[in-house]
Amino acid sequence: MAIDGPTTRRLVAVGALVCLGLMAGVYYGGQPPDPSLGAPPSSDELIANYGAYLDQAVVVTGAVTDTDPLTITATSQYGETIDLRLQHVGVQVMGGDYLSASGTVRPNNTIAATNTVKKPGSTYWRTRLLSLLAGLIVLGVALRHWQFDLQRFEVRPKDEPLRISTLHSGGDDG
Amino acid sequence: MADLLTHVLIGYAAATLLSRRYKWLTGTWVTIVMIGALLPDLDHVSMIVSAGEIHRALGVPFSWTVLQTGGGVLVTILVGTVLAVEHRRRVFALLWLGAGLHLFADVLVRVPDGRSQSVFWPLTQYQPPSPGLYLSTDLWPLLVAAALAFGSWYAVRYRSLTGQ
Repeated sequence: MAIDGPTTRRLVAVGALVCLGLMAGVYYGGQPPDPSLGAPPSSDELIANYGAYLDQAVVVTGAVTDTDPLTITATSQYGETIDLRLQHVGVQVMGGDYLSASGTVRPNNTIAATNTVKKPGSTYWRTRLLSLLAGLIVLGVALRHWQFDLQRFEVRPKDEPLRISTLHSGGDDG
Repeated sequence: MADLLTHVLIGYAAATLLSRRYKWLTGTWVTIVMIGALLPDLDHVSMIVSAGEIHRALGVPFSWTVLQTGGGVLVTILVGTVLAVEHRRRVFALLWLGAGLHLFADVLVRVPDGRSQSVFWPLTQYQPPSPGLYLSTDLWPLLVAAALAFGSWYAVRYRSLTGQ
């Protein structure tokens, strides 16, 4: 199968964009926090060097693993974890809830929280299911209205949207 | 961030309402807006290849969260634009509409420090203030989005089908 010039250019362009995206991921991943721009340190920074952030403002998120003392396990973007005790949290929490807290870093893996947002653990699967449903809906309408030409490496709208009746009659011909 | 279904329904509603003004905005093109609404959540590819795996394999810092910034979204939109050979301007604009509505809705989510995401990156790391309108796990935004989607469908598609 010969690939024509425009198709080659599209392949190269998409490849270049994917590389650009990955490079952006590297650059973004290496950016230090900047509290002056509203981007405070997070659990990633605490895991890397906890002592460097003592008495600084931080935002951490994690699953509640103990309620007395209130403790969350925060996970970095690389999958490393840190257990953090949260003080001055004014909401009722249960094990399995997710807490996001802004506060000040204190010694011994303790955060003096000034504000918290709780996400009940029971909503985790509901959110995942709703997102899966959204993906299926978009996939369905995309297949109905668009087609991907692998040979020419392009997408274009279908001349006629796919209909249930078309699928049904297609089965009868078989 | 709100759940993905909320974002997709908001995209559908906005595109369907716009189709009253732009007659060419048929279901084919509403689909593009809905796809655009998905793009900022492509960072969920981390469930297949995690940032940690890339970091350990290549020895460089890495974050999939870049796909939730304006710059990351632009790259994904450009991929779609390149592939849509005969309708590039339209696809580019409609993907931006869907993705832009998604990013805007995410800025409204309640966060503990009152600052949202770096949506303007790479221009700036600045995180705009969030009005804290809802929690990412609240159901009412989904109900509002569903009502908007149904209302727009009724006002535009159903009434045009029945000649009203």
